[in-house]
Amino acid sequence: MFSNPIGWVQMQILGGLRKQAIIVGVYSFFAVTVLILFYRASIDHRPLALQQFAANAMIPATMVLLGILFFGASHAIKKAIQRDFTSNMITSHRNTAITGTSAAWGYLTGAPGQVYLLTAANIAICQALAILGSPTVSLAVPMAMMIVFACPLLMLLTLDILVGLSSRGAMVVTPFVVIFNFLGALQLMDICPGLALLMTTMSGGHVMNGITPDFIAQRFVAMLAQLTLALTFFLAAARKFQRDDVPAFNETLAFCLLALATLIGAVGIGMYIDGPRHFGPPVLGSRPAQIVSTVIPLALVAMLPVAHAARRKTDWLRRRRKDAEFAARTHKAPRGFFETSFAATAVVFGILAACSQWVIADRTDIVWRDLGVPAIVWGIAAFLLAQVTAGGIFHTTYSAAPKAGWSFVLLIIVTWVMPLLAEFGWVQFSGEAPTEGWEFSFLFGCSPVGTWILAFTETKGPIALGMGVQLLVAVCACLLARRSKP
Amino acid sequence: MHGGLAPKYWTPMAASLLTVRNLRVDYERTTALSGFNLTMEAGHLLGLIGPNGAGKTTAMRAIAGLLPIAAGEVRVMGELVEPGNTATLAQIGFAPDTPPTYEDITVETFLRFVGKAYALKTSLIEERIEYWLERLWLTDKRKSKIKALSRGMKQRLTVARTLLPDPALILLDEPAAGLDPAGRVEFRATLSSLRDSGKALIVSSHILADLHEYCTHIAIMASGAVRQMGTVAQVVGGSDDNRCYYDVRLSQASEKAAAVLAGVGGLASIKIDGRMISFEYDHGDEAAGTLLKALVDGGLPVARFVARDNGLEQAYLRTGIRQVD
Repeated sequence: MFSNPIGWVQMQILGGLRKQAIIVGVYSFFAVTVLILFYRASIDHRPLALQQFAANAMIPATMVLLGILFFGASHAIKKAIQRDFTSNMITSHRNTAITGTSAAWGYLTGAPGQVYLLTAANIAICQALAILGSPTVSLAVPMAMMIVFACPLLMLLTLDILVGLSSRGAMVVTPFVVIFNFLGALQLMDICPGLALLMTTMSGGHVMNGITPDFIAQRFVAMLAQLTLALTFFLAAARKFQRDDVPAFNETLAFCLLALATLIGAVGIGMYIDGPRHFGPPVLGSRPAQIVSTVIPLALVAMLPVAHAARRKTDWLRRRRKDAEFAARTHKAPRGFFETSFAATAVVFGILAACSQWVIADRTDIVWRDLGVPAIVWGIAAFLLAQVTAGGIFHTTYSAAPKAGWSFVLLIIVTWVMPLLAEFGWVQFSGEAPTEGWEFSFLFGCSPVGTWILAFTETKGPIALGMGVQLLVAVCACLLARRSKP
Repeated sequence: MHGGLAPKYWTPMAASLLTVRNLRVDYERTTALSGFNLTMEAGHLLGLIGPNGAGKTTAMRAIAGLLPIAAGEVRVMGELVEPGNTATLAQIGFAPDTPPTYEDITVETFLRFVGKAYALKTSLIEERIEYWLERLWLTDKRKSKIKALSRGMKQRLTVARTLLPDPALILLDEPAAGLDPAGRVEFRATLSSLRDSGKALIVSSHILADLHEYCTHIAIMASGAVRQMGTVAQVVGGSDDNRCYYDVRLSQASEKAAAVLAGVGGLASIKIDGRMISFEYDHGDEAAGTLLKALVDGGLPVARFVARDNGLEQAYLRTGIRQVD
């Protein structure tokens, strides 16, 4: 914070260290006064030992600490990035010796400097409450809790920097994720075990379940995953800082993210323990459903390297067309979306297979073996065709425009969602109520999601015909890409 | 320097500080700059002139590595200017026309930040802050918040920010736009001294008289391309027909002015506005003498007769560029 230029200047904008020290002092005084007033008010109604009050006050004090830390830090980062873009200081930064990593580190450490100092005061207050509340065990509790929470915090804040730099400071994600968690939506996340594993640290419910070996293992794996993702986001943010047109994820970083997401998904499936569900139908908690819900986000993440390949290839073709000297000295074309689609599919299913065989064989083996070879082949084929289709569309879009976000949304709606909606619409229209042994029509399998549901769960319907349609769509996307002129 | 579309005078030299080869910048489907070639060495000060939208700012931003280029390349001291090449980017000082600053910190803190951003030693930062604040008349404002500064002061602060790290190549986009007359005089001296100290500078400005004074080279741009480029003398004296503008003031308006002027052969671009008359005619003392005699003989009450010196303005007007294309 003090040696990093961006971190340093962010602290100066906040008024410098002296002003921050005064703010923290005033805040601490205010917080302690509120606690004393609460204590006085409590003992007016019924006798209450200070120890009991302190123990009771620990939880709300911790909530305040975490609230200020997560929301405050995220907001501070967003504000700092937004300020740099609106004042055009980002241009000034980019013209100095500040590297991308140094800038990302500055935003991470300096922008939320005030929040970190307030957090330090809050930790001291929590520590005092912990000592008063339960002198035997609680000394280490607030500190240990901070260490555990530091990992998701790092992951979310680095993602905030990345999203902030990509959206010119218009967006951050931490508030949404935190609210999603604290509203008790973890049950919803359990549908996708990888996501649940990743966010498990933030679940109050899991803490209440007690500390078991599984619990500790989950925490450890979750923290490791969060830290690795934080590093990936950090490096991506460092790239994005360099210039607006520089893609945050280059091929290596995109494949790293994909591999990491797959690993988290695979480990999530293996570590997830079936339990009673309070949300949605029970089938959502079944292992086959979890595999489907893991493959869907992985297919979306896999589109990142595919999109990057499509963009790099169109950039290369465009440059060759416009720059004769470049054309004369560069002969080898970069890898396009088609080859990258195969590579992405190989990475995902290779890691899933490796995890099921070696890492968590005892738990997932049964699931994959039960699926059978044809189902797995259909699943892989649908995954590959989804990537090729997306690649073709991305290539076509990048040939005409610098951004392809809208085409991604359109692609998902048309090729993933519409067939399912059409199928459900047809069921409603025909008036046939689904009964036991019910079979979906070929429309359902036209969507990759439909194919995965048909292949991995006990849902019935024709797969081959839907796959034929997906193949046709992929071929059309490739032809479209071939005809496009960057 | 090597003009893009019209490389009329410049001969590229070896060991260049800046080399721009066939630079092209596109904004989606629009080409903002094309065929831009340039070679600069230490001690060169290039003035970019042209109407709004000519591509001056685009050229400077592309050279500074702030814009993606569609074709060509930019090299500073032989190194490619591209995102991530921090060492090379740090050799380029770019001052945009709108001063980017943090409004809530003081002038001193801002410059200290700039020094840190270039990884300068603390003692050196303080030394340079002192120097540039004094040089740009900002010493008494060092403790002032930037938001309290006037536009001209912010402009000077931006120049100080650009020069503080001592870059090899300096790009200044409309640097004198907000300066007061005294500030402009001082600023001209600063640029001249930077030029003489071996920096390479590119300055974009609409104040052609200033450019004439301190530039070593001039490039006239329009529609995203260089129309004319060369040394100041080459550009200014580049008229093929050896003509210039004359301003005549009559002691009183004369109805026969138009008829008299029509009778003098070789006049062009005649404008009569009451007592004021201007037109284009052959350059040189002999031509001026002949012309004055013809006007007086024609009965015009000539009170003032001035042959405008051929300057950048004339050179610019000769290119035929009048407005935004």
